[in-house]
Amino acid sequence: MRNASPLLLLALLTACGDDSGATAAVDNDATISDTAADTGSGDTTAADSSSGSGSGESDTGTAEDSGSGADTGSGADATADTGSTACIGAGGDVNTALFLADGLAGPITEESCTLSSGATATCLSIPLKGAPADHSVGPFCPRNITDGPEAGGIWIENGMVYDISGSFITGLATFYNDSAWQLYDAATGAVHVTDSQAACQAAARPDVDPAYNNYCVECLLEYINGGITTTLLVPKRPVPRTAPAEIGMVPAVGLAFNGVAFDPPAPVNAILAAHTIAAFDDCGGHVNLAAGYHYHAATGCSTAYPSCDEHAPQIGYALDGYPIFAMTGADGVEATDLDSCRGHEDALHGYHYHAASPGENMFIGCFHGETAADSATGGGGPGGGGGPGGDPVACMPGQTARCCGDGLCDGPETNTNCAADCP
Amino acid sequence: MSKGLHRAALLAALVLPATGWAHAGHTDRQPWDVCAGQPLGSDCSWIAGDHTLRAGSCREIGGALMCVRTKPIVPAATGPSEPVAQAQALWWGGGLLVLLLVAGIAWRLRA
Repeated sequence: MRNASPLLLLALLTACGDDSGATAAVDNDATISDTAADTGSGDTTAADSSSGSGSGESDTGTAEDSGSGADTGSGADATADTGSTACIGAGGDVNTALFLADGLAGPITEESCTLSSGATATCLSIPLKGAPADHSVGPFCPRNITDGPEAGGIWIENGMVYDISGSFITGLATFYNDSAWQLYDAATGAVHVTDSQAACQAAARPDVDPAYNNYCVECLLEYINGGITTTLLVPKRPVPRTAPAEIGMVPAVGLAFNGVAFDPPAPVNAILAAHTIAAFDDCGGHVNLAAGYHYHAATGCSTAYPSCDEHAPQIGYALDGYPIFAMTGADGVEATDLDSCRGHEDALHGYHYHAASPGENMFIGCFHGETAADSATGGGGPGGGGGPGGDPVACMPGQTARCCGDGLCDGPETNTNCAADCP
Repeated sequence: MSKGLHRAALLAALVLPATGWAHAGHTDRQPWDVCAGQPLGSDCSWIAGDHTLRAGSCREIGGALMCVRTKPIVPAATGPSEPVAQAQALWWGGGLLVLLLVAGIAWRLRA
């Protein structure tokens, strides 16, 4: 060291100084990694696709059952019954072979439809069971504050995903900086959980029944006989729009291959004001008494099909017929050229969307393509996806809550068509 | 991300959730609030609980405008890491001055 020149020392110091910047960057990245890791996204998605519950057999059945002549090979480079070897290639028609038969209430059929542009087209009528064919549902709420994360589902807040464990329940007052949060019995540690269909309905409606303030809301599939069929009408071949269409009040923005709809996000301040939590299970879904089980986040649970390259796996289709892929591929790097709908185009996949991160409570931001004018029937029905047990939407200034308890604002339901429920 | 950074990220992932949990506020409405009163399609951004920037554009969802993220998630430009970085810069700057002083004295003594 005696011979070390000041310049050498300076060089050493400069090199060491780089570490500080790197550390700051790593800290933030790590938090993102944790969010994804909590929900099992990423690698799990691809793994599920090749080993999913009988997906190959079911897929073939679906394609045959449809009897519609729908193009089953345009989206994938291999037929779906090849299971682990199937991969998703160039875009084109909606590939009906990718849907699991166990997630459908009947065959996928073709029918003439009117698009949002007014043009006539061929649409696929896809009857979703409203219950996942490839994974179990729940758990949602822990039963005691001593329970670990495995006893509950997840909660989405601040753009992040949190495990609903017993400690999460006890920490809610701190989390929301509101001492009124008390979802448990202080003497016994028992968590207040809705335990019947009536309780679920009362606790999940927009104007939460005061009796269910400070409850963890858990609506079960058994309350709705295992699911509610919703038939989505999707253009067989996507038709690009000249300008994006807003998601607006559609009940679903797309569908997974397992018979579950992707629902749009909804602000949760209405239920938070009543100190209730409409818990999601670890798969990012929960049960709506009007529409069945549906997803609010892509967490890697549902069947997905790997891409033929390093691209993210496909997890479903949007309501306009364009494919939806997971947020990232094997490299974990998100695309930098997404448009305002969270889509982009490449040579192999055509135009397609990438789902947002689980903590963002959304899949896509708008529709790049035309949707069917009457895109959903059954279940929540058009514009009615937020029924009891679902996702209350806070009304904006000047709006009034819809009647009929569907939780949406300024909708078509009025005293004329819904006199029994409207004041 | 390099292997070293990846390892560090994983290590930090085990430690940081508790921090994020403790400092999380009620910011659920941020993606909606930042677009309130803004034109459809306008740029928007908000900072998530993990102090990352979520930037995109305002789209209409459920009867209101919401910030739909279209850019990759990146660390927010300002926040908890900044004071740390500033403190480290001060530390290294001070150390450099001391070392230069010592080196200068040694240089003169040798001469």
